[in-house]
Amino acid sequence: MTATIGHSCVVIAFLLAIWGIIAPLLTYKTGREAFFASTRAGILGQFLLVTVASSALIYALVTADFSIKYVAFNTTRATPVYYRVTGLWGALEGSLLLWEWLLVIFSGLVAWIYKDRHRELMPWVLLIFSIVSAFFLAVIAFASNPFEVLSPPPADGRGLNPLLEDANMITHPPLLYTGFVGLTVPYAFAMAALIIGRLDEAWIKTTRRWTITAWCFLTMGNLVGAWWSYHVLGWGGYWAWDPVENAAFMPWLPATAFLHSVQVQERRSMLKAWNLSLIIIAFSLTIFGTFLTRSGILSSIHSFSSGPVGTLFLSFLALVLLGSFGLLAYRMDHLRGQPEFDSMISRESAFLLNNVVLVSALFTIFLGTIFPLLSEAIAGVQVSVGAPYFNSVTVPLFLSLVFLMALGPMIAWRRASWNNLKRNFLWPALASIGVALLLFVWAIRDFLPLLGFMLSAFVAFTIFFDTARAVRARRRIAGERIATALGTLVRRNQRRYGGLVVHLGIVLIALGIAGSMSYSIERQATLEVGQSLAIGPYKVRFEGLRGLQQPTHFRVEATFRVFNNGDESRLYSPALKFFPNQQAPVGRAEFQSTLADDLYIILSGFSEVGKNQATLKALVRPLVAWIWIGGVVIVFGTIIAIWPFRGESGERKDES
Amino acid sequence: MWRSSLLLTTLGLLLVILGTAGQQDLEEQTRKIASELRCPVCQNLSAADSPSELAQEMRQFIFDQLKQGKSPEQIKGYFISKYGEWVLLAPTPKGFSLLLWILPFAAAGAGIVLVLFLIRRWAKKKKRAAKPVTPAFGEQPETSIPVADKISSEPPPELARSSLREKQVRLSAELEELDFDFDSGRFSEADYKELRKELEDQAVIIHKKLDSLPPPLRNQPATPETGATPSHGATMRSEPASRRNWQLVAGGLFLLLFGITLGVFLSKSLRPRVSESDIMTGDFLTGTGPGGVTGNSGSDTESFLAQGRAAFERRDWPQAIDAFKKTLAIDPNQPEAHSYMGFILAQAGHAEGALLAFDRALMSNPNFAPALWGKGMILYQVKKDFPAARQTLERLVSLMPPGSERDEVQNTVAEMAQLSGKEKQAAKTPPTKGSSVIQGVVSIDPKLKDRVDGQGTLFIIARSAGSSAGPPLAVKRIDQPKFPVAFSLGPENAMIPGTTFSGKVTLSARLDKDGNPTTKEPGNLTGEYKKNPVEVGAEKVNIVLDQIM
Amino acid sequence: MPWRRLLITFLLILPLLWLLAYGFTRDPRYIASPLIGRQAPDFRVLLFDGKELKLEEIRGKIVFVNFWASWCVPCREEARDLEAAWQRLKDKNVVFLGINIQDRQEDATKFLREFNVTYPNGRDLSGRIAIDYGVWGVPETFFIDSSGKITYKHVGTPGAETIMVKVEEAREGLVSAKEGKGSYQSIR
Repeated sequence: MTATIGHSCVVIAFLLAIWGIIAPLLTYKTGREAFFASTRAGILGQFLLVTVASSALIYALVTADFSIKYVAFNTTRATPVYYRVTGLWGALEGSLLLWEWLLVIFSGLVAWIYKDRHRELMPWVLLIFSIVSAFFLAVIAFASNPFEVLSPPPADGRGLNPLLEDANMITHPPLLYTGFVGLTVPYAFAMAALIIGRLDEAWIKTTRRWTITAWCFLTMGNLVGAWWSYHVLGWGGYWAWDPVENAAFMPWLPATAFLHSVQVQERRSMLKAWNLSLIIIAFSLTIFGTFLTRSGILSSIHSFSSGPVGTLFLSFLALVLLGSFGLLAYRMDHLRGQPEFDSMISRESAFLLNNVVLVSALFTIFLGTIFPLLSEAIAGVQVSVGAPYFNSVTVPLFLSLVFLMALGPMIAWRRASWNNLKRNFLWPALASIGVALLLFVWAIRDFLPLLGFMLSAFVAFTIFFDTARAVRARRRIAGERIATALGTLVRRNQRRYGGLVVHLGIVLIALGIAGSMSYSIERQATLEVGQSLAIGPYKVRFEGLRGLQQPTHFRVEATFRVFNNGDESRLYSPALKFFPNQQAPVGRAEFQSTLADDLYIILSGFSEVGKNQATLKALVRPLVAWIWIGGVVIVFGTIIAIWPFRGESGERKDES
Repeated sequence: MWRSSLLLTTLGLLLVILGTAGQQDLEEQTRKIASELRCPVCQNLSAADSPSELAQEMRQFIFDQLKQGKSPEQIKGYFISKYGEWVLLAPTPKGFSLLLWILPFAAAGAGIVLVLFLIRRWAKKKKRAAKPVTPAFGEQPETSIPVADKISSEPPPELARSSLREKQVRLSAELEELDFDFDSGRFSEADYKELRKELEDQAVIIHKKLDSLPPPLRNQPATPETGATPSHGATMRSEPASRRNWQLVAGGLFLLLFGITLGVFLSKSLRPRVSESDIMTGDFLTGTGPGGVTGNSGSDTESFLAQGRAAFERRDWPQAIDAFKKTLAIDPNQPEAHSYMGFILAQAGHAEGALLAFDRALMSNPNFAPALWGKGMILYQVKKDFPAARQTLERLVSLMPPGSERDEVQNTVAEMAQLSGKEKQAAKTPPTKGSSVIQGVVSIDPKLKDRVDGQGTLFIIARSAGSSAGPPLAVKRIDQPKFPVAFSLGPENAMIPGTTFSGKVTLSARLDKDGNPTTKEPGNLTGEYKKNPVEVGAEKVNIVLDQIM
Repeated sequence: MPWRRLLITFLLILPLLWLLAYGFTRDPRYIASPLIGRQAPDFRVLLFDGKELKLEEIRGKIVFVNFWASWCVPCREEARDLEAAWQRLKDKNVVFLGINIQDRQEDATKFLREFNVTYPNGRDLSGRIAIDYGVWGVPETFFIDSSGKITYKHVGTPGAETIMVKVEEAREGLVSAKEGKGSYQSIR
């Protein structure tokens, strides 16, 4: 019954999506308002239907209705309720449904919010949404159906992949998908603008907040993914440059580039084709990412099973790429702007350089990700491209990005005079050189981390220096107190200060990455009860083993007592989890975070006889905590940037 | 004297420290080398990060080699000679892989050069365009109207107006930002004045140009077309609301009906994915797992087989038979199709025919697990030919990896040995009253009475409370039960001999029509003890069979 | 001139799509061995009967080296075939050698008893031999000719016929560059 309801909803929604493609064309042909109204109704209908379908699947998961195959494969009777709900995105079929759900939520919101505005653009925006939605619904309805019935129903299900039984899995996929799907909004508006040939800045202004929000979710999705990897995969790292991780990260790069270069278009009416390309690339990369995950053409820790879905996604990717870039090429004549640059040393140039670096990083990561394919197809040589390659190639790019991050927000638009440069950068530069010298004297002698720390300090100093000066000026002019002055500043230019806070967040992440990449200590040892291992400032003493029967698995826990510089701190109990359906055990590392460093302990083996030996791997990873703190700061900055302090003024005024 | 001993101790200490330092250094070096090598059995981890056994062996190997004084290059070279270039996580920059190292830097470099070049050109062009402006700009308005003038040399006045307006808005925003920046001390007085003057000049020019255009017409659409698409959309006609509503309702109803029909139809019949990951349980016996499929059959047979399997699962015998016959027409030796035919025949009660089918399957692949299973069970249950059945099933056991499935088959074999020895002794043994036995009665829900025909086998299954996976603790088997059936479950029913049968367990019962404990067919009756879990030693445990699978 | 631009755009995008489509044709987990046609790495292995065997010592014979583990399903599948082939070949200047990897002693001996394996079998305790031969899946089989050169490698179950054919080819010193592939299981 649940299956029938769910599947019917998906099929009807698919038909509505098809109508959503036809109706705008009819609106255009006949000019009748009714067709457009029905498009909007169709979008809202899709939203309701897919919501019902998703709720049906969640209901089936929660009630453990094993007559649905997807439920039987992804839950067991012993699975706690919250993991049953997260079973929605535990495997291919359900995660596609979640994606589609988010997509119709976004398209429904767009159709509703802009029901009285953008009369000309909207039919085409909804057309693009309907095409994307129709594709996903077709895949869900006909190729990878989460409502497939299983007859006879098994007595118990197979259960979620044990790696996914983790609290972060509750948040990671929805966040990432929201980011991915959110990029559909600017993409749809961009395509609509291309179709009707109205290529001014209207679409950019309308989608500004959507894009920033999507960008924030994308950032969060990636960070939570890194956190999950660090927390659950139990190898002590947070980023493996795995193809699927790259696929999730890649859309972030053009999206970031887009956020910067649209500011040039807003002021100079230039780079139109470039911005359109960036948003097309960003959207295509979200589809490419799904394709990589679902097709299994590259080996990856995260890949779902292969199936016919891969080919479908490839076809859709082909449609998106050829269609969008074809349209862009067709409209190229309308996209040339009047040259409006004054000087090489200006914020415009800084943003352009930032774009070059971001796109180069994207190119590098993309090349590295598909290079095994390329090499085998062309040279016939099997190669692997992994962390050592990506680290050595992207680090210089990211460092130059940090440098541009200090430059961009402070340098003047149009042209910067010598005086302007001196005013904004002299003291921060001197201060950061001072920091670098101190660090050098203290301990850090390697070039790259030193440069990383110095550039991070440079960004932070420019931001603090600038804000402090602005607050002082404010106090002088209006006689406000510091807090009030800060508030006024932020309200008067929230985009700027929101952006600066986001930059601070990125700097914190850069700090965390530089520290943990360059100064980790790793040791491995087999210990008897009572023996200990010294690592960094810590001493880890093995206290004993114990086994525990858990609802879904058997767990072997080793207890370690940790002494920090001689002071006893706390007990660690990393574990190995033995799931009945899995051949190899799943490790559960344990770590403690401090602002200075994380001590990360992995149980990699134990002696089954006598229970008196354990093999452990211990890592001390400095500054990792700052990566997660940086993430929180970014969210905070994004909220500052898009919070409607001044009502709806910003957008409405621009559009009038 | 004591001085020299002190010296010796210090030296000794120093040596110890150096020794451990050397050890740590080696560990560090091992990690470094391992992190550049890919673990061959993992999806995408380095040998340093992978917890797999092979990666551990690799790390040990690297450590040993370093200790013997080998250089990192030699060690990496060794691995390349074994696993190929593939094993390096960063390909050596030579041959085709050189591209991987050059392209990113080339792209970044070219990008930067291009951008610098473009900025220079743009800046120059702008200067050139700006030169004649200052004295008498009004005469040549085309030069700085953006966008539209590129398309046609004479832009319609409305278009020019809107683009000028846009520019005006942009300028005022820029002025506002400039003021803000100056207020917060980002500019010196001189810089500010200069930039401000420039912006104001531009604003004045735009204002003049706007004035020079003809006055706007009244009923023009707010945003004109660029000419590329005809503007049908701009004028929209509306219709009477009532008619529109009717159309919507009718359309909606039609969609609803159509969708429901399609949905019902599809969710019943659609089964497109037959891939490795579809294995639930019993992958070995159903022949879908990596061990079962013999592979190298053509794609046609594969698709017929898939159809057949699906039909078999649905218990749609005619269609299944049809599909398997088609398979056999293409490949007469296809063991899987033969086996399925065997199962279908067995289901229908044709033991002879089934046996023949299984033998055919075994002829083309003597190790085909499902066929062995089917043959064994028919010999055992229908033919009562225990020695032959045992031989077949033992062969099957030898092929299976250790695990719950194998245990179940082994159990059947053991049961057979018991049966052939002391006919049905087990059923008569009086229940030993003690703490290690559960006693009770299995009955049938009155509503389901007519589904029972005295045939089939009753299984009473005890699992340790809290665990739903893995083999059950104990299973009792009662052939052709007469309901209600009294039972007792004790240590002698334990699946793995010697395991303790105590503590809390959950009890369930299943009436299985074909007596095969590993397959679960629809139509089987099941029931759970309502007061699960139960302590071993309990009496009057009454289980009601009240569910149909 | 939009058509020319369109054409250029498509020509830029299509190779990328082709490349991705090409991805469907390959198995990303498969590792091609560089060892075929090269000298077989020498090793010393402790046999289950306590004796020690060195590859050098049986130089001059055709050697069939099979890596296996008791937990591997395809290994169970091929065990009978291997033993049967051994019975047919053992007097024909051929040595079969099983090398057990990543396993426990008792499981391995149980396996050998279960299938009545009579050809020499040994255990690779440190995993060194497996790494030497670039093993990544089990069963993996190498055919070595009388001069000590690897003539053929088969990943997964080879089947009786392949064994006979490849042994004869090894006798003639014929090297097959292409690896064979049956059902295999990744090692741990």
